[in-house]
Amino acid sequence: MTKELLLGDNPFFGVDNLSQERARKRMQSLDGLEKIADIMDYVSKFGVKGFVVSTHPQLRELLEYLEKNTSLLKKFEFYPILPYAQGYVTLATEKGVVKAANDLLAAGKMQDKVKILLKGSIGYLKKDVGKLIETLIDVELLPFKNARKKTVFLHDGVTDLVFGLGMKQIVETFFHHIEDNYGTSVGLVTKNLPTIMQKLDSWNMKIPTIMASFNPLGYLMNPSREAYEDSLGKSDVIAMNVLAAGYLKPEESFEYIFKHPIQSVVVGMSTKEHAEETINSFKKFNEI
Amino acid sequence: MKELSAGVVGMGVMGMLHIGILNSLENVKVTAMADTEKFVIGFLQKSLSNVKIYDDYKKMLSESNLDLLFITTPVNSHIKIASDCIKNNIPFFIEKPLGLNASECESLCKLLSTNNVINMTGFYLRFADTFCKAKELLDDGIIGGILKINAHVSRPLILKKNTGWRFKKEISGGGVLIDIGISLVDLLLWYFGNIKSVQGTYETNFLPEIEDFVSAKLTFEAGFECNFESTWNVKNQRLQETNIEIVVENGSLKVNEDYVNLKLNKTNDEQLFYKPTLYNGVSFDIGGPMYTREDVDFVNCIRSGKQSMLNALNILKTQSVIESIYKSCKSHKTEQVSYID
Repeated sequence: MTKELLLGDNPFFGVDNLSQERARKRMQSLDGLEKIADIMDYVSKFGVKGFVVSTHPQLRELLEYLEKNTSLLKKFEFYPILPYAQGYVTLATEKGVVKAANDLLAAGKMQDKVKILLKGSIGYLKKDVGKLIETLIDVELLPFKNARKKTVFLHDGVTDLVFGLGMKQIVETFFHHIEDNYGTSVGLVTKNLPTIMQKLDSWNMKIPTIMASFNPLGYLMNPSREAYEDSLGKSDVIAMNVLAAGYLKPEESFEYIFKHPIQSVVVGMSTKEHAEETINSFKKFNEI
Repeated sequence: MKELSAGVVGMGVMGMLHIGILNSLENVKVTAMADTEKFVIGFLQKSLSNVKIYDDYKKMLSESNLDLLFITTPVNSHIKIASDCIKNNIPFFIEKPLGLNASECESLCKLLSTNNVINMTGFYLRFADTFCKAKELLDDGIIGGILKINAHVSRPLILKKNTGWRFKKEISGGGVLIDIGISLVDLLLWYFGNIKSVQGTYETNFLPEIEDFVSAKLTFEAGFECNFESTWNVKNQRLQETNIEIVVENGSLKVNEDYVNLKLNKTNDEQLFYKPTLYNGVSFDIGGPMYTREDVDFVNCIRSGKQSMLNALNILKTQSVIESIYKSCKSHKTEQVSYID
């Protein structure tokens, strides 16, 4: 089964699931949008045309840079993951849930606010949960207005929380709003793939594209690697954390991935050397 | 197995997280929630069915026939709600810290001496893979006599002046020390035993009563010292980082959220345990497996009738150390830590 290799954005924005120390070092060495564009250009020459990105505060800057200075916005299909959960959690922890919601709705550039005002005042939105969620989605996706979006994902921090809480309405709102207004498919990122699939089934909902960790160590695979493997085949799956946060070598990870019905693989590649090693290993198992 | 009926009071980030986890556990169901914020109550009522939503936790306690309660409210209400749980004979879990100060916690312990209901304070680092591995290595006696400890915790939480409850001492109990430094103090007590005396200093950047940085020298009853630091104003950092470095006669042991590094000079041996290699899956992960593990531990305590290791009497020690550091920061003197039996 051929698989697609996608570029992940974590190393560009200081996210490293193995080491915070290493994340900071990478941030220091990757200071500049030019270097990110450089990596994108480099991997695109090897056939990598998908970019998985979280709606990080610096994302708008990156997309604007790509649009003004490169042709990469046209070359790549984007897989946005929203919301920027770490930012939401920090804001809610700092200010409380209610003030955080106010801030999120009031944030952004003037054009964001105009869009919000077209839907109603902040006070009105807070009374209508569905509209509130739709508006937050719209605000998060504004930076992507000129980018091609393949699948829009709900961040695992939110997916897992919403499913744990049993808030079916939020999942439905997300699915409908994305499909009806953006013409793209929807997806869920999760650290609990088997449970999420079972829950969707019990809610009589379709299983969308799922992005979840897959690696031979079973890292971030709950409740177990075996349960993940047994759940495959029910929907399209994008494997992430395949290198177990950089602990494993690409070859040993891909050997495991290619034994399973997984459609795509996302890997963060922070340097040309790392990209070359990753792509060459991937090619051994697959034609990109 | 009997299904346990759980309640949660305080629907902020931690309240939501614990509800999600509890609902995923076998034979546990969250049946009641309480909050005072109208927007939150309205949101929950519209989003959840089969759960009773209250605007008054006392009403929830009297009406809902709960088997356990999670208290995830601002700190100043912890002891009051926990006391009501004791009166109603309901086991309770408190998201750290236990209370505003040691004397408040002491009053709770006195009440518990009349009815020792199962209770636990949520110090999640005790359930994190790397910190558990370090405890295992320490307990195995692999490293020799301790010469010195360096311990620091930092989080990019407060980068400007804000108005949330964390900035009101009468609600939060203080700043960075009681909010995140307390988890590190708890780990140090778990690893190395009682702290005899402390000498601390603090800095404030935004509000005079809410400290943003605390530095302290902690002297353990076992004789060695620890340089302790806690801050929440750091930039260029995404998550909380908790580092403990133990310098021993024949090497060192370093632990943080990402790895455990053991170096032994004598054999020139270095062992590095990265988080992915220590990972064990949990039934359902929201925000990190350690939160699931602590909730499972609490539920297991209730089912077995065994008091938690993180019960109020044990956590009073942690709060006493925190109180002594605050006292020292003000007196500019070394303060003895007084533990209450």
